[in-house]
Amino acid sequence: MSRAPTNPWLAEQVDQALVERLTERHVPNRRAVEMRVDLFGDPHREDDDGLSWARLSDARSVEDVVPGSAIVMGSSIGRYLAKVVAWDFEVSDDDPVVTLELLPVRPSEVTKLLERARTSVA
Amino acid sequence: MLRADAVADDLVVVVRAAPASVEDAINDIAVDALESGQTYVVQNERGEREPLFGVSVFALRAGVPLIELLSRFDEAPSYLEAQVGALQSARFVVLPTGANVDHFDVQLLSGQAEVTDEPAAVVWEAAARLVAAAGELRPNPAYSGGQHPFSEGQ
Repeated sequence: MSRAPTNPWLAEQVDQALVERLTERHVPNRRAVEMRVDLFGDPHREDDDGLSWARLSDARSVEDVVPGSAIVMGSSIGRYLAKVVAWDFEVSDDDPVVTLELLPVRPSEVTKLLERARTSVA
Repeated sequence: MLRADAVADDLVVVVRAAPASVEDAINDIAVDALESGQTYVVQNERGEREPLFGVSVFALRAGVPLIELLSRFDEAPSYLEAQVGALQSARFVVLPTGANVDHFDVQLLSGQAEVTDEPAAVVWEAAARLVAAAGELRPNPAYSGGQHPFSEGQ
């Protein structure tokens, strides 16, 4: 089971060799690809610590959802920003549980913010 | 993790924020429950471990506006809600799960052995039964009217 992050700026580090091993076996999730999101997942889910979760097999790309990454999660009821907190291998060595913290900001708001920041440079 | 608190029959839970059609709502529930069953186990009332073919639901407590529960699902055009008693009458087990006291799992498929062969058809049938037990899709008061994200790919 994952642990709730005590310091959200700290992320569990994963070994690059592990990322490469998982990438070799990974098949991009069809629905994540269709929706052009990093991860297909249900935003209702909560684990024991109140964090959201999905499986790595729900991802479009392994290296985009390593712990510490900011991602866009998608489902049939919308897109959500999230931060990847951890990978949990208790269930599977090849398809870990991806623990996520949903961020209370809409992707469209971030798009607007970045556009504003880009265009407001004097 | 199962909490020790009792689940009152008359507790209203918002079952799901949902897409526009009943078919899509059933599909969502079944897909999520199957992945949950492949990931988590739970101890049943006989003390046996069984896969948690669960979907997360949230309590709608007295005095809490519905929109507070649904505000994070503002791209979902509809939602489902039901009383715990109605779900139990439809043969679902409602489990108090996790640290959030307002979070519950509806177990779609009880009594399965721990290792299963992805009983997809049975879970789909249970998902359809769950949606039927919750009644009609209701309009989500938090819906922002944005484009339905999955319609592009279908």
